[in-house]
Amino acid sequence: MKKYSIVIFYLMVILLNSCTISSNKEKVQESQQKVNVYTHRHYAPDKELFEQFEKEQNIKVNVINASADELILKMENEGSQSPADVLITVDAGRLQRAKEKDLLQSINSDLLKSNIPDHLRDVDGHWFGLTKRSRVIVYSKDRVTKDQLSTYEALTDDQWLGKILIRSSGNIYNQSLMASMIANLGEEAAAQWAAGILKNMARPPKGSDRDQMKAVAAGVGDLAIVNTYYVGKLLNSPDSLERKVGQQMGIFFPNQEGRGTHINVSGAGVAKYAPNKANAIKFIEFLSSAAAQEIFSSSNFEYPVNTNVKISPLLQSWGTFKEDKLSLSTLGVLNKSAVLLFDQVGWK
Amino acid sequence: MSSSFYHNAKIDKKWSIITILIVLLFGIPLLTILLKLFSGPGESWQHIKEYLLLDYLFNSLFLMVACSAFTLTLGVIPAWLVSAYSFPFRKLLQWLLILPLAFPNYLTAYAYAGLFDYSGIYEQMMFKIFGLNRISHVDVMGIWGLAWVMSFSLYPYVYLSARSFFTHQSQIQMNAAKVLGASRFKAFYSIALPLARPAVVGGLLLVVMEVLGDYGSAYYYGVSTYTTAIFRSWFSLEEPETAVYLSAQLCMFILFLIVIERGLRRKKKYQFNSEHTRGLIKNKPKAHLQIIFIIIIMIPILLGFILPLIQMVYWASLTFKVVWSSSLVTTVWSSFYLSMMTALISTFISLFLIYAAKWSRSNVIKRLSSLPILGYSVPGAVIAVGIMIPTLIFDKWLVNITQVYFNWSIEFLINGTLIGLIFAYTVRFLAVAYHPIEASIQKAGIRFDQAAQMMGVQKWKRMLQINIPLNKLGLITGFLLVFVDTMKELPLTLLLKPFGIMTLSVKAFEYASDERIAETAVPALFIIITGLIPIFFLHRMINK
Repeated sequence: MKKYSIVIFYLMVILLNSCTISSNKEKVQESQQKVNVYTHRHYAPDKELFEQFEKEQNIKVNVINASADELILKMENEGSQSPADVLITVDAGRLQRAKEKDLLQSINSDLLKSNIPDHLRDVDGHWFGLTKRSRVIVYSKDRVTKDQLSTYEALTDDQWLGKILIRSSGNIYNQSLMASMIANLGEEAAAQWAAGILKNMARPPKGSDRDQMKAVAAGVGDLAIVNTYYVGKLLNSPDSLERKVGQQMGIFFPNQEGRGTHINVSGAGVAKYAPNKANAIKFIEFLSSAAAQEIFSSSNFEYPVNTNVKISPLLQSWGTFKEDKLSLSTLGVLNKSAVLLFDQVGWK
Repeated sequence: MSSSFYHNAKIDKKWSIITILIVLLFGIPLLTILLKLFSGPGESWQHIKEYLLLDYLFNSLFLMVACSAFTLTLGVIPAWLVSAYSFPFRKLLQWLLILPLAFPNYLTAYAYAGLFDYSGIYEQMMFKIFGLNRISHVDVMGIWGLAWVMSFSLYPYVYLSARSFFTHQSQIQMNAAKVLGASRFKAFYSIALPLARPAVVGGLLLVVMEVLGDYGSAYYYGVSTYTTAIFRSWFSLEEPETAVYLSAQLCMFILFLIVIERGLRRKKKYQFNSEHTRGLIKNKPKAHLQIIFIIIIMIPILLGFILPLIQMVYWASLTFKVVWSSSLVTTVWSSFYLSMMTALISTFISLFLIYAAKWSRSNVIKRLSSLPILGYSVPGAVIAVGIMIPTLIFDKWLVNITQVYFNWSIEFLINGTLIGLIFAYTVRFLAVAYHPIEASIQKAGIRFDQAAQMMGVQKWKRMLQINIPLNKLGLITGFLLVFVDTMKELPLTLLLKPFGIMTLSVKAFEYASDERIAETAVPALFIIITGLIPIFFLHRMINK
């Protein structure tokens, strides 16, 4: 019996402990301004920025991290009682979906309008792009030269048979790229494009963007379609061999003669039922400010949306490029069609 | 079992009512999901059926069969060797065999991918030692690789249940076999193995559920499984109806497996005359055999634990400076605390449900009591939804009521709180505690319990003084499994965790989803270390 009473004693201590922890937290929250952030971004610089915001504005930043899909689901279920103030995703399509599901509200902020170019934010002010990334072609510098490359469409050419590496169609960056294809070329041509890429794939799609580049380095294929900042991450990896992979990659911005390279944003919107709306607006304005944007671009290898901010030396070394000015909302609207087409051509 | 005995027993209403309450509490999330079977799938069902389903079904079935075969081999053979023979390092090895369990299987998948990719140890070794370049590339990321990785990280389920059975295996039957001239090997496969079936199948069922419910590793390895279809229809095709419909089907399939297993088991009785039970006498084989045994046992340990561990430690050494911060200590504590609570609650509820079923003379109670274990067959994210829908209705109602009648403004009681999270874990992991405990009770029988009952000892007293001590090993196994599983749990935690609480698996996920796989190693190692602490202590308790 003694044993059991010890166990029960410990249990009670643990329980009491948890009670006091939670009540302490409530006290802190009551006395302090706060903003509740649901975010898909979990980069270290984000945390630094949030802390900086806390210090400057004396507003506590509470963060829930999960994928955008899960966060949207959570907000849907919580409805008008949702504690969320701000939703941050890494893809405009998901922001558009949140807007369509009536989870965001329109914000009219002159500061945001002046900080962020038109095509990188929602027309109705439901969401605002904060960082920009482009999906480019990377190639093995040993085996491919720049002049062999031109457009996304040209990758379906037979000369690339068994040479292309790209991840699965479950990935949102591929879905958005496909959505841009549908918007620019129409469904039929987009399906043909996907089938052409599938035909040229070096192996069945799998792994992450980084894995595609490693496979290029390992000689599985010659080209990969990846987001720019992953090249930056490889080049700055703690692992010397990964840095070597990064150094072997050439970056090519496709479709420069035509519509421009496909881009996407990670961005934020204010939740429809935000309990701390004013703080939420301050928070997004802060993230779009020149100072915050500089941290965003330099430490995460993304492009700032605020044009007053200088881009980092690494990004400068990749050169400037013409971007596809397609309204990013379209990516969200066409997302489902993109997935259906992927399935139909058999791109896993 | 002498059910007639129980027909004479007084019906104990209290126990039945509590059982029904527990079943209801656990049943609500599952019912929420199962009811969707009747409301039918969404419109993308046609699309899924046409383009995806066949492929997905094939992959899932393949994985199920392959992993079952692998985990059986990897689990049962070492379990028998450490229970029936004595050789050097036996105690250490039987402990090491559990360790792969401490790895979340998606991290084992990352580790293997890392070992074999361009910057991995294998490729570099090939290059440096043999000068081979590109030709020697091994691609683990495929369906075989996935089956391999999953089997090596899941076999401890089978091992643990088999070992807890073999340890209590009676020497009597073995002696009988010996007298009849059977070799020890023959005695193993014709006596010990068939007798161990309920225990082994219980462990295997956990493996199958885990394999079918896995998403992370399969997605990373580019293998589309049934669960991929769930996530695809949910998030990519924006049709939660179809996703839940698919989950409900998965749930029915597992139910079907359970029913079949029960049906097969019913034909045979597995209870022993336990008065004469003495543990197995451990034979000391010849020296060369001892070495072979050690090698056989080392295989799963090496490939399931040490190899991925080496990769993790290497990664951690590269990234420790970046990842380490004092907040990691708080993270370790909250993971530990959540897992501890979940494991305790699950173990007690399982024990309660099993005995309530045994003691009840109502067939309804008997059937109902094993229903809550279905939670394990549903992918974590879907369970989260099954929990969110009904509890939000309750929470919103509670908020309104207190607002209207008492003019208090309270926050949600279940959603986004620790209570909600632990409840969700328990719904999901009850089966993990239930199976080993059930197998142990099946084995120990209820004769002592019956004797005590005849003497008029109350139920709770019988529980404390007879049944818990008698099934100590099963209870410990169940507790351990739930503890480790909770440490590793991801999708449910992402959806239901409160503000301000961070767990190790969420931390690892953040890095992984950012494609900073090397950085996941630090939280992953903490998951492993934190998981090892209870494994170590409980193991000492067992061996005492």
